[in-house]
Amino acid sequence: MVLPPQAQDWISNFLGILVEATPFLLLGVVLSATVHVFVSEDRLLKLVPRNPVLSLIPAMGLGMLMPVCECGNVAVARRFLAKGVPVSTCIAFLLASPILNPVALFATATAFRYYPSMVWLRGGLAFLVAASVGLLIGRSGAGERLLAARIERSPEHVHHHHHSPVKGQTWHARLVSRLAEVSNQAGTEFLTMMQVLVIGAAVASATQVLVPRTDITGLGGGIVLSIVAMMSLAFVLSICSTVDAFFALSYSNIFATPALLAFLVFGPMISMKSVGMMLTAFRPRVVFAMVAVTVELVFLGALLLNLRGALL
Amino acid sequence: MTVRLERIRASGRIGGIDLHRSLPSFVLAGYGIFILSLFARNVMTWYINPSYVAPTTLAGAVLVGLAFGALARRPAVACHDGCCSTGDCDCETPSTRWTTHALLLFPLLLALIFPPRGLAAFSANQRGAEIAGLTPIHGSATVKRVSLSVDTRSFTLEDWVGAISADPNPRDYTGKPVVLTGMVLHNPASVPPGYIMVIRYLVTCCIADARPIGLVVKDTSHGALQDNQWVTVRGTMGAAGYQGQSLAVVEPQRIDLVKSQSPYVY
Repeated sequence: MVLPPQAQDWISNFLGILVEATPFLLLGVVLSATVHVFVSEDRLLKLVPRNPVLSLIPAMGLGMLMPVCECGNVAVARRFLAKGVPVSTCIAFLLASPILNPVALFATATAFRYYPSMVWLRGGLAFLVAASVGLLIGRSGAGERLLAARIERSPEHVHHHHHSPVKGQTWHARLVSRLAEVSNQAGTEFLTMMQVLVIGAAVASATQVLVPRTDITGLGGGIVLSIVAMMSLAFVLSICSTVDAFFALSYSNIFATPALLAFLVFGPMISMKSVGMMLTAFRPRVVFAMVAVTVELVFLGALLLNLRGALL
Repeated sequence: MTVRLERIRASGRIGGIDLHRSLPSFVLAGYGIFILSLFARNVMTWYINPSYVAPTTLAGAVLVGLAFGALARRPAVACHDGCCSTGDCDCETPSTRWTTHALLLFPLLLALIFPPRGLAAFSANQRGAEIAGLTPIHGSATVKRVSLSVDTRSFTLEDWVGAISADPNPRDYTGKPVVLTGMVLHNPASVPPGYIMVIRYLVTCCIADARPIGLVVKDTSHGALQDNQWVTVRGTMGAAGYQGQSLAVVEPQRIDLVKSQSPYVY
């Protein structure tokens, strides 16, 4: 069957995004399922300080330990939310972990060898934005009111409560039973997350095919428009945070460092791919608020850097 | 036929198979088999960077394993109204959303019908082809910088792009032999009249981030070459004036049409 080049390229882009995202998504749901089965709510909540500001520390720390990009961290954040971890902590983790993880930071350092400060700028701005968004949203209400209804009434949800170990059951049998539960949970979550990834990938691919990239980058090199252009590009392209630094580098002859920084911070946090996934964890108005506040903070951060560069 | 479909929908069974319980496993297995088939046919790099082939293939195998695990699991009792009111039950409410499964099966159907194919010249124009010598092509981690003391007959297109990006002065290359293979792209807005581009796509992660890179080649076919055709160009490096600067261009001795191949370099 011969298709027009636009349709064929859309299919190639679409399937490419899905294939590339699959291992990261799978890693995220396996981690999420493992937490669900092996870590009790009480134990998890003991690790999180009650103070909303201090609770950000384990959120960021956990993000630094987990080598997942945005495809995988939503599943983990969902699990934390379902376990009762404060919303501010979960949101901070969700936004920061794609950037603060070691793979993304190393990739940034490699790509921007000629400008090592980019690593600190990226990590620092991501930390500030994630912490601010988490605290702001977390203050807006009790966790349950912010959660997506489907977390509670998902048809795939198995009404399976943790029972006390069966008398006489060996540790080996208990481990096998729990691993089976991890497997079942991971499979279910994978399908849930894949639904939104399919939609996000379809939209991102359509945008790539329909909107010439030069229409976005051609917005100009001005202090404001350059940032808008790169943030728009980041939203549309939905490139994984572990490699987006190399992509951003290709625009270093067109845009100044603050615009590239906006791309590197905004893209892993908010993109066509990730917004759909966030809707599996939060209510639409919460996701809208997260997007709006993140846009503003990243833009302001990059703009301040631009102005600083212009003034000095 | 409609009555039969309605019966299947209502009962959720075909033959002895409980679709409600089995369909999610089949979908999982479908994704796993799709990925493993890409690996087996050695075409996964038509979608992603070779560095990601191993973890992606492993993910495919894990998905198949999860699917079998789910199918082998002893079926739990189906939940009924009020059975969980005590808060202590072990039943299962299976998925009944056919539209969900249809959405998940859609990419697999596309992959089944349409084999992997490289991005066309259309996408190169959409994304903006980067011309070596005209604009610096950054991304030095992925574009090699090559010393010109090496025999340039062995240079690939990406080798030339790397070399010219590092040193755009055409005088340093004039007369050097060139043998390169790539896809033809016409872009009159970006190259001098009477010239074409020969391009490939530079991929970092997956083809969503692919950037078209290429060299300017004198069109000795006088317009006979068309977009998307694959050619091998044999000639020497020269120079042409364009937009107030001297641009490194390939002056062909011969241009041969060749079989199309993967347009991606990594």
